[in-house]
Amino acid sequence: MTSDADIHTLSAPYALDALPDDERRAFESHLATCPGCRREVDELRAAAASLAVPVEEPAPRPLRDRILTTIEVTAQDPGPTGQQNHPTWTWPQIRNVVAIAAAAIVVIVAGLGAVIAELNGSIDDLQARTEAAYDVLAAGELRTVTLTGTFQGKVQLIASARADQAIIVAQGLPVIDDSRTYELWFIDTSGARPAGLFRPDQHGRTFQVVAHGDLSGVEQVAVTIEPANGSRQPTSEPVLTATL
Amino acid sequence: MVNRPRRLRASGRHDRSVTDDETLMAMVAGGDHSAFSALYDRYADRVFGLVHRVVRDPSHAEDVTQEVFVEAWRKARSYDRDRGAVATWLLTLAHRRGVDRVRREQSLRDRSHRAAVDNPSAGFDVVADGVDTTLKHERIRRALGELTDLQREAIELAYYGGNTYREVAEILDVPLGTVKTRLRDGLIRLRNAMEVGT
Repeated sequence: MTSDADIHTLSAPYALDALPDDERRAFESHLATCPGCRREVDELRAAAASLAVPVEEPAPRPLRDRILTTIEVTAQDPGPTGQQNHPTWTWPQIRNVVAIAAAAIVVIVAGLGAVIAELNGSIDDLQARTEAAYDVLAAGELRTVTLTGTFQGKVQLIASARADQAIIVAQGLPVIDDSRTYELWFIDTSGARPAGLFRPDQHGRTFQVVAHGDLSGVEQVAVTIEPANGSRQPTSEPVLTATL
Repeated sequence: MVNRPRRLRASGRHDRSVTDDETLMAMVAGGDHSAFSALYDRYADRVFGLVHRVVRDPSHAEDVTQEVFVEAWRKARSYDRDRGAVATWLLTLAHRRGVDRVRREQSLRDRSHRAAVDNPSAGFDVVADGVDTTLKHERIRRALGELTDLQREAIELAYYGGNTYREVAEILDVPLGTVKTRLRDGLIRLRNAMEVGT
């Protein structure tokens, strides 16, 4: 296997489809969080695709009819929803899912209980987080937003407009080193504003109260990876988003 | 070509001869069957040739080509022009499907001597034959000429041979890092040469 530091060097073998299956999967999850590698892969792929030109040969004629007939009866996938042309950001091809779960507080609390039970943090830390979370939950006017991205994990934001705070609950987030942090953004017509920082534990989980919870007027919620102290404006492409 | 079905509608602005790939692709994403057949006609030979080169068996090549175009139809809406040209998208899909097919077949067979019986240089020989003298071919032939022999060899084994970079390292008996460098430098040189030639 390849060590983490080496993973950036795999963009050429990846662009040539020359990674073994396990390394291909690992590199694809790396791509989800590394805009630099994504750009490089796009460029190298364009070069690789030109290698198809010299080996062109006439496709068998019956194949054309077979394919066009198949197309007639084949439905197209719905494709990514959400805004493709946001004024300042280019959104990755991800599905945006919005869940408004006012009627599902019972489920939320049960879910939080499970997450809390699994946390490895100290009792004090846990207690502080739990109390902060209960304050948010108890304040009411809750709204749950499910953020999606290119990795497998599950990330939800439970926001209370009344408390102007929100809880981030995540599983399966890529772990990042201490020099960086996840940052939450609320985006409306005037642009992106910072809504809080959070950092998953070594298992990629987090359960944390973040700065803002008032979603009124917000059109999109996004998460980027930023330098440890956060940024005032996003400096990288979002790894997770939800359209409201 | 009396009998060619489903030509792209001749609506002046979308005349097939002038419709660029991006526009065609947007029409395909909108469910336009005639736009799809135009796209097919534009790229079928390249997709089939590439897949045939990678999977070798002509009937497998037909199957995979069909898979590729049906997938392109289904996933047309996920094509993102910011990430590359339509041709790149389609050929990336084709190469990946070809390689996946080879791996599936190989896992059923002994794969150890594949490289020895293979002659990956044949791909470039086609160019050297000068059968096709279109501008595009000429430009790419010149771009390929910019590669060093070592870079070309590694890229051929990986891209046409369908070998993993680990297999390429084994075949050439060089360290993994060397193979990664040759593949990357070769592709970058190819890209730069293509840009100059445009």
